[in-house]
Amino acid sequence: MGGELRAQDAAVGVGGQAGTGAMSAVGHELAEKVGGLLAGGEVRMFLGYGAGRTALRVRPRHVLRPEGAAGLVWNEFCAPSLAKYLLDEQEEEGRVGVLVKTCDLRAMKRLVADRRVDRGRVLLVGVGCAGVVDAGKVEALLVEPVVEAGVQDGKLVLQTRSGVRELPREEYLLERCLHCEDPNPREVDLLVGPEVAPWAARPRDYAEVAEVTAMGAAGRAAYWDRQFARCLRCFACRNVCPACSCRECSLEVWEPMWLPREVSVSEQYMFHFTRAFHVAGRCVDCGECERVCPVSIPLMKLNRALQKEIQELFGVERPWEPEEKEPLAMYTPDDPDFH
Amino acid sequence: MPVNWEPRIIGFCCNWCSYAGADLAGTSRLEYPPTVRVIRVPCSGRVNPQFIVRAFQKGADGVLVAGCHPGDCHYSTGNYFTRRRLQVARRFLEYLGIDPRRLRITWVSASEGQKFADTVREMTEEIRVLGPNRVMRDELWAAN
Repeated sequence: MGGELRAQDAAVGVGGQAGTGAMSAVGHELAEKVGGLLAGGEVRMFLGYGAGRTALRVRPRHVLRPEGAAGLVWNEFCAPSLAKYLLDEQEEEGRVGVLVKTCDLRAMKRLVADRRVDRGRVLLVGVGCAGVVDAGKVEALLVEPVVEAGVQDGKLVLQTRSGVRELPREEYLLERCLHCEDPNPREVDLLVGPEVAPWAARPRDYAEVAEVTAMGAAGRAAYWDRQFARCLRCFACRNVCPACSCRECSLEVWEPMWLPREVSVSEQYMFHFTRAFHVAGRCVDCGECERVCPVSIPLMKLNRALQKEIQELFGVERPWEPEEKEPLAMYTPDDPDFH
Repeated sequence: MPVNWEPRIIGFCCNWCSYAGADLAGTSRLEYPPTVRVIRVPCSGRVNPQFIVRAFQKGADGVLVAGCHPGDCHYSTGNYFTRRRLQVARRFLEYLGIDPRRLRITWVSASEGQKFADTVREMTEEIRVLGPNRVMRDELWAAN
């Protein structure tokens, strides 16, 4: 195993093992532990991250054999949530291991609460996370592809063909990381790497929702017309969402056809209304939908608006906690009435 | 404002109360504007919020959802769920740009013919001032 690990390090270089050196140590530990889990037959497969297209991107990696563990990476660019890939693994016997950050754990809880994933057949490997870089934000800034990327002393160091760019890391983190209350996942089966010191999480507010609300009815309609007109109907937002796990999606059935195949702004309203409303009260606030949207539709402004409404009407603050009953699947006789 | 334009309202009425209430308005010879097209549903709980979106897409200027009063549901609890669901849906549609006056959810019992007639009249007046709905509307329906 040891030799392979070193070979992997050489292949990945600074790009894969970004940061302070602590990260690459975690990469070692992760590969070693996963190799052990697979060799010992404790899991039949492991879901982690592998090197991606560019230094700013990772891709999900399914590891089936112990020697494959060497290809796993852990760094500041491991944004994707892997929990939803478990849906494809429900048929086959045996446990599946999956790498989770705190935010991914919420997705996991959602899938378990929805009875789509059997917690007993999953081995959660948690990793402390100091915050994930929003690759989209960085890519929007740079013209050239990033050859190597890393973090040094709180700075994002990016190597392109024409030189090195340094950016303040804090400004390029994913939105969800700014609100992260605990960078170390709890309730996992196994932890890799050291505890990460928590930072002053910004309290979540609904400023972006209030901004839209302030536009007035006509302004809001014009705003959403503009946003939805870009939609490609690729369904990436639905596919990535841990709360969107129906076996048959109402947006894809032919009878009744809720969503005709034509692409018009009117039909985009149906699509986005339906997507957001179907996860109302179940959204885990992970922001994956917005992160994967290829045309940057501010989907979280929809999800957050619903969260805000549900919070104000029914007092549900943390819908991703399993002990929270789904607010739209229950009632009390003295709920607020229409006026 | 188009010439001779009249608001078009889609009314989802629950079979057990509001549909009977609407019927009573008719049999009592109460006068109210002929702007509402009633669609009978087994319960207000049948009204999927997508129905409302679809109505606006296909040319409705207003949508009325009418069900039994809370506590009176023929199916005991249907309208309690409706109350939660449509409370959220209504605010959300407002957030997407639908004027709140275009969507009304109300409770009409089988004996409240007058309330049904008044509701339709009020809604019609309000929507007449607003003019045709443009939000979410399919281009095929944009001509009027």
